[in-house]
Amino acid sequence: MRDFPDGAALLRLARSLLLDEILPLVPEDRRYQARLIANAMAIAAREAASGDRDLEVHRKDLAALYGEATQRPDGRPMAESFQEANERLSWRLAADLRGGQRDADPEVFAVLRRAAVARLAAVNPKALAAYDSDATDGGDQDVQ
Amino acid sequence: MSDATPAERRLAEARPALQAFLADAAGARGAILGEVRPLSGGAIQENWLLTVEFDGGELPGRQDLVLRSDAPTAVAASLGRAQEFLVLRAAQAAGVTVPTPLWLCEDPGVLGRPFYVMQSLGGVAAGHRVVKNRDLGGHRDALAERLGRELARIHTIVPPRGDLAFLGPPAADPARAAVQRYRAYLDALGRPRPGLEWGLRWCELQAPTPGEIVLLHQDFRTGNYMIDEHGLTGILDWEFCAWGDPMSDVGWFCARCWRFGRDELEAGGIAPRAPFYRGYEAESGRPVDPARVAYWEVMAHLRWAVIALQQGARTLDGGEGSLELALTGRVYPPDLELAVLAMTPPAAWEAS
Repeated sequence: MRDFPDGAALLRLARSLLLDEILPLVPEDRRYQARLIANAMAIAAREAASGDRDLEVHRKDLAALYGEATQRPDGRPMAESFQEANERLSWRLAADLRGGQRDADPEVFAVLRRAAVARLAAVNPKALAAYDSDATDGGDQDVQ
Repeated sequence: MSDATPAERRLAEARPALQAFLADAAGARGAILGEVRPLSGGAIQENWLLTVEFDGGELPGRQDLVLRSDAPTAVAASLGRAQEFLVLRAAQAAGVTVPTPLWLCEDPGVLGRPFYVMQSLGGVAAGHRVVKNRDLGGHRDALAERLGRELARIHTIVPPRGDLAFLGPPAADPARAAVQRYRAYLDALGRPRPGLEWGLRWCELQAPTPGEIVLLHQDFRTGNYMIDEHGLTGILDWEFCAWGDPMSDVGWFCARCWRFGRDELEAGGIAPRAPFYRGYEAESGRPVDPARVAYWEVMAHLRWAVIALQQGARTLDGGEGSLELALTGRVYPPDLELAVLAMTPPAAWEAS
């Protein structure tokens, strides 16, 4: 357990200070750069707050596409990290798509869509509004 | 004022050599460089606004000029400055409104890399300001129609052209060639992107029959033309020119990702499609093919996603450590990927 305020909370506080107190003092020709910094901090804060949740959801999705287990028979977690498993299965899916093995596959489509929604929610949650509400279907995603 | 950046210091050191080049190029007795100011919007090149006082020659007196040089690391598939200079000349000869290209310098002794100098245009280019500030650009339907005409003039340039031989021969099948190119870029980036692979596979299967081949601007969109209070002052950013399907440029201009938040104004966030198409058709005599345009709009999102990933990767290659490029590589691709998926659901894979 980490002490509070955790990294995500600190980043949010730092970003508020930057935008509310510092930005008005920044010369006009450097404000764009200050806003870039604020945006980078917002992304890092959301990523820190969501932890491994998105990676785990995507891990389950990809494993389901390929009929892979996500736990060992004795119930203990796999040795492979979410990141490693996602990378391995994403390469496989990318190659299958390119090779025409998954043309128009509705299951693949749903997985890709859910993954893109999760990644967009981390970097630019406002942009999600441009997509139908069903862009967020599929359960576990927190797109706040 | 902020401290000088490395690029500003480089330019300051080159001042005597640059003055000598400018005087010689303009046939002037002398050239005195006044203000030198970096212009924004150069992820790939460096753009500088120069105030120059010429003593005689072809442009006597005080002139505002733009100097455009390669940035230290160039992006794949973009033209060098010498080639861009020739494209700009060809476009001007075809009646396209551009900043007049003046002089090209390929002598590394002056700035350390090639550059050219062109006329400076007045006005605003930044996409978010263009779509927001309705005092600019004149009547928006008229601006869209004018842009349609400008694009049609670019498309009057057709291969073969001796002066544009560096563009290489046109692809036999531009759509499938684009799919291969973006796959190769993804491979070079070294990370799996199944969402983009989905879209590229769709583009491979739905590729339109190869047709007419013309000169494409390939970045003809809001953000890359300048307007002032009266209307258009010029078309900018010619470094992605290539031969291809004319509907590809039409799709790029209309693609949702280039509307700067004004999604309902489908022609670049400034107007409905109708006036843009009307101008294009009137000037070119070539009907806009909506199905082909829709196809190229999918490709536009894929292309911009791949370019954004490339720009993000440049911050990791030990190139420019730019936060702006890093954010480009992170922020845009998921949105573009979702847009591609929205346009290519399983039902859209039926044989066309």
